[in-house]
Amino acid sequence: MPVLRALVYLRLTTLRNRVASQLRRLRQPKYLFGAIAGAAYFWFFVFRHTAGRGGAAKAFDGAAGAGPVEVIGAVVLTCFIVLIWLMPGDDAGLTFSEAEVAFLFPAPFARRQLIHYKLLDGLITSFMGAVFFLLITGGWNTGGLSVLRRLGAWWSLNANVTLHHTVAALAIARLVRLGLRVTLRRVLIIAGIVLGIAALGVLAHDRDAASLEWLLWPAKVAMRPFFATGAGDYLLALLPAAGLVALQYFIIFRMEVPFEEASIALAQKRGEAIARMRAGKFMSFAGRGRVRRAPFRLGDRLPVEAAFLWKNLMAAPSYCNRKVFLGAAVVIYASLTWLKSRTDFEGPIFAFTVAVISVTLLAYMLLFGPQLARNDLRGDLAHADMLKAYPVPGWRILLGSLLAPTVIMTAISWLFLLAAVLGFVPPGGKIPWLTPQLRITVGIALAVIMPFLCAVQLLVPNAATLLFPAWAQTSRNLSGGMDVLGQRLILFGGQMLCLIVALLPSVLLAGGTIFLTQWLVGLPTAIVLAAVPVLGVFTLQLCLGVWWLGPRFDKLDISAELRP
Amino acid sequence: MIEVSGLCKRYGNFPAVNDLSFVVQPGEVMGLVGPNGAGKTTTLRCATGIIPATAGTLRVAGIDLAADPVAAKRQLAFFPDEPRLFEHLTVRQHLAFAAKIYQVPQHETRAEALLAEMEIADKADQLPGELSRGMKQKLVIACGLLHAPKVMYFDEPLTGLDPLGIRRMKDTIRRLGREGAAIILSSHLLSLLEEVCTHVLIMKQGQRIAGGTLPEVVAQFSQGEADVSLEEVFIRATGGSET
Repeated sequence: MPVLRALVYLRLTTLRNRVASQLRRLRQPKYLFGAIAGAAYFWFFVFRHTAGRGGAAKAFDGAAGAGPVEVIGAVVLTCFIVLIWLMPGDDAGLTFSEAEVAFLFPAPFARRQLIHYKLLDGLITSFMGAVFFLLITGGWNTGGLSVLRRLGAWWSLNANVTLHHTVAALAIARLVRLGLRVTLRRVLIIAGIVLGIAALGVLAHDRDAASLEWLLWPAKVAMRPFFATGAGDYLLALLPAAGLVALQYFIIFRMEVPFEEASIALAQKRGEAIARMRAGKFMSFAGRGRVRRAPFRLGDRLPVEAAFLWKNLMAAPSYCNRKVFLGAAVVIYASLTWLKSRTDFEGPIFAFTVAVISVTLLAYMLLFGPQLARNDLRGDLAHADMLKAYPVPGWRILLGSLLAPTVIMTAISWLFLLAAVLGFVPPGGKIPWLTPQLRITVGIALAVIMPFLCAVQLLVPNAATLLFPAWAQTSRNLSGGMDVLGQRLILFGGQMLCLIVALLPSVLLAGGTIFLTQWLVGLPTAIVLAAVPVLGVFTLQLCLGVWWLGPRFDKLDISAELRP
Repeated sequence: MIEVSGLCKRYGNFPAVNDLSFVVQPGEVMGLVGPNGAGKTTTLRCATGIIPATAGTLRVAGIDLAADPVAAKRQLAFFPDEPRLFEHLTVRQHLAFAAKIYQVPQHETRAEALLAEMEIADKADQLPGELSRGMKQKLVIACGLLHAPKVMYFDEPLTGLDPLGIRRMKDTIRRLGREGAAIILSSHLLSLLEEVCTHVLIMKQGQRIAGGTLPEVVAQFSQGEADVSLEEVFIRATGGSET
């Protein structure tokens, strides 16, 4: 069959060329160091833990039996299947790449052959996914037939999920052709699920709840090979799972649904998403062709930095706006105040839990936020030639670029702080010195510091972009591989190190100020006093950083650094 | 030969193409023009079998596209406006892949000749990422010509080409026409159509406004004036607006 030959040729050649090009680029030190770092990461954090003992794969051993793990797994898989039916929009279709559309759609293949192509492609991908899961769960180290057993289990699970994606996509495409809109479909599915759960609840109330496990049957069939105890049991489990794969393949093959238009639209969307990622716009959710409301009026008297803030705020996710922020603040305030007042159902404990989670999330956001909020110079690097043509000094462009992510990170951090200040009341008065006055003082001091802290944090990855633009380019490298993973790890490690160095003076000064003054003025006032030198240090670091990096941007040789 | 009869294509309730009919004989190059949203790309996609038509008959080299799509598609080549290539296949491997799709036996000799003709033979072992846009375009054309199609569809073929590339592309299209291929060329560049096409079809809002040989269409809208350009004809035919 020509379509099968084409698929095999494409897959094998792509794999061979990809490996060859990854090996070739190891001649460049940045990829070589990245590969070493990536390999070290995999060895120390993945393989070392699984080597010699079968690792996580043991958890799925037959000895573990079809106990609660199997039921939980089946429930998770069932939820995932429901999501597959809920998620696709109007343009649900088979997923082809733009190149596949260009080459295969006008080619002399019947529609069914294209479906064969996509299904076989999905099964090959499922197999590669199975090999990957086998590696990271340590199943590769169990030896002999056990490896094949696990490989079969992973493959049947992956293949069933992949094929079900296609079943759902084609069924939805058919429903759309019949005039069922996406919202109505979702409402119907959700209503069906709610009704089903309610009916089952009533049934379970009258009978044994275990008798309702048949609902999880398809998911259990797909997962059962993981929990088989012996060779015979395994075969008895694998056969129905493989049968389910064959059944879904047959259903898809029999569905006479014209998928071409939806697939072309999907391919274009994917192509645009890849182009956006290559342009460094990882978090660009602005939506195709949707006009965004300006965050503020860009008046003539505003400095040029405000123009960058204005532009980058509009490129931020649509939910990053004043209304959402204020609404979230009101909800947090009202719900935590209400929770604290409801002692009848342990409301204060819930409020405390929310506050602890908020503090944890705040810490995570401060650590990882700069990696996600990239609508600064990193996002604009692809347009560096345009930026450099502006009659604006480099330091002002850099400062302006930093503003939008700083505003967004600050706003989010303020919400977390609000939740922490309101809810951080340890149950039973366990920390008596943590008075409301102290909480509010700490909250306000941190809130004042936060914009400067966020700006300093964002300065670090932007500095890396300007000082090592070739390394910063790796963020746009979509080909993946051990070397690219390693490069990202090195960049992240470098950022953490710079952050520690940047934060150290502020922490020491704040600690010293509180230690020296709290005996005289009390802890709340000492915290306020400590905020002053911290603000000074952050401002100084920011000014020095922007002053030093500005000329680096002016001198950035785009032709030498940014071309692939 | 390309025969389109009563072609209709609807997206929901929106008629993208409505009752369109035309014929392109072997050796003819027909320019498809119209304002944005006129239905040119949809027409091309339907005529190549990329998307199914809602109604109408499409015949490629005498073969009904709906009845026997595989045989019909074997006779045609489609060159999209944007060269879309596989990231990890070299130039030569793209040709090998196209040969597999179209079942071209012993394609190597013809592939080498096409690479030389397109002046990308020295890039044969390079990946698309290393090629300029013009070279990618040439590779797409080489892939399309590999199976010696009788019918060809070009969608904005000059996009992104340098002056030399434009010259070569025009020569290639003219030569293919002379060699007996039936060609449809969709473009906004009216000067290209004047230079390359033997026939022209003007569309607006999914419908045929005018069609025929270039002199016939010009005569239809010249209102007795001499030396009326195709640009002027286009503006008069479409009323100077998209709607």
